[in-house]
Amino acid sequence: MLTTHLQHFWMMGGYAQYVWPVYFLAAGILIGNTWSTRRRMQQTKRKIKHWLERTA
Amino acid sequence: MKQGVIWRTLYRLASPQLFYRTSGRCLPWLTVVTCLLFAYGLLGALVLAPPDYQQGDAFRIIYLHVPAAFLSLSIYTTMAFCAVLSLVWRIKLADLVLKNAAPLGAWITLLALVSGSVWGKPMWGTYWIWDARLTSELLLLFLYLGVIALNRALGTRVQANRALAIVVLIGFVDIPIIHYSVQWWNTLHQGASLSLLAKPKIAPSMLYPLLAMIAAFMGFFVTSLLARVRTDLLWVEKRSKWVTALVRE
Amino acid sequence: MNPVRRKRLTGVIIAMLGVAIAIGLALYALRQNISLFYTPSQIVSHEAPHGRTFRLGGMVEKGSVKYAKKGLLVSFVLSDLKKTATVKFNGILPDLFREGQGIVAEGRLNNKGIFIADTVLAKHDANYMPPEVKAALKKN
Repeated sequence: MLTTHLQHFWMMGGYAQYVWPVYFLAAGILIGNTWSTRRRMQQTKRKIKHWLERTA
Repeated sequence: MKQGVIWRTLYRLASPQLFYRTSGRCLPWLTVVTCLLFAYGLLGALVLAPPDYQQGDAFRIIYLHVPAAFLSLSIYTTMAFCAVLSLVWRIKLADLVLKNAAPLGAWITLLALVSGSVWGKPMWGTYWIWDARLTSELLLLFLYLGVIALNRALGTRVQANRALAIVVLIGFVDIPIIHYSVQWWNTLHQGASLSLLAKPKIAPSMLYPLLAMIAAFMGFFVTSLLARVRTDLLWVEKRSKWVTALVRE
Repeated sequence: MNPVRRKRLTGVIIAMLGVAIAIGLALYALRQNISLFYTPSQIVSHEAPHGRTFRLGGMVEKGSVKYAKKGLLVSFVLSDLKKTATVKFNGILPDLFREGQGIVAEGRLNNKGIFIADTVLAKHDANYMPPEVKAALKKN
């Protein structure tokens, strides 16, 4: 019962090949950007720490 | 008198330390609100909204295409506003906002173009056509890429900021062209379904998730932009006492 | 606002206006090239090109679509609410092609003034609604 519902949902009325790639691309862009934003903050803090140690 | 107060608040907000602290306090809230909006928006987009009478389930691409397209224009408008602040008032924070908005704008514009293209294949019968709307939006992607490339090439000198701001302002001419392209010329792209003044041409059950997705995309942009500007601010201000204290914690 | 900033702001505004006017004039001069398609009225008034390919856009008139008994050949009448043009097409029509729908066809005029299309693209309008709502609207 549930699987047929999910299958029906996944089919997207025959447009699955158009709808899902767009949703996955959007997820990739949004998550990728958020991840890179976080990583840059951590890297920058580390870089400043090194820089302070060298100049101190 | 009143004008003086506004300017003073603006200038003070542009002070690096205060900006860092205030934005740090807002960020967790913004993140939570954005996530909630995405949760409702996606549920509405994929499950709650009924299929369209003509396009069936293919119309669900609208929930990514319209927010992305809208944001691609808003981000550039933000950059142009910052360019004026930078050129006329020489506010350093405006340069940082401008530089950090450009890559976000490029990604979102890419999403708008690709989602529209994939939507066009089953509905129009083609992935791409050189009509005024599509062409001017593609030009916007190149404007973003140009700003990013120019920023990398010029570095951080004061003259570089000025050059960048001027380029952004010249490119701003494309924004009204994109918006009005469907009215000024014959295009394959249809007119706007949503506008501030007219009644929406989309049924309420389909409209609310769309509005939520637009708000969610805006939330994503503001959150990412603030976080990125904060990072740059730390680096630029690394010689100041407050950054030293913050990093040593 | 202090005088230096006022001067800079005026400079920025004047420069922006200059760029906008220059680009506006260029776009105005190129308007027919920028427009994606010609209309049936433009064929009647001989504004549309003869002897080369161009795009023609309009609404498919109700009751005008005729399919050949064999093959994919189809003919229909396009209208821009003022004038009409007959189109013949041999190929697969897009999902959204139907009577009353806007379409854009690419092809050329033959000697009899009939537009022979190589491709047909569907234009869709800005309205979105559930099927039940559409059905209810039709009833009224």
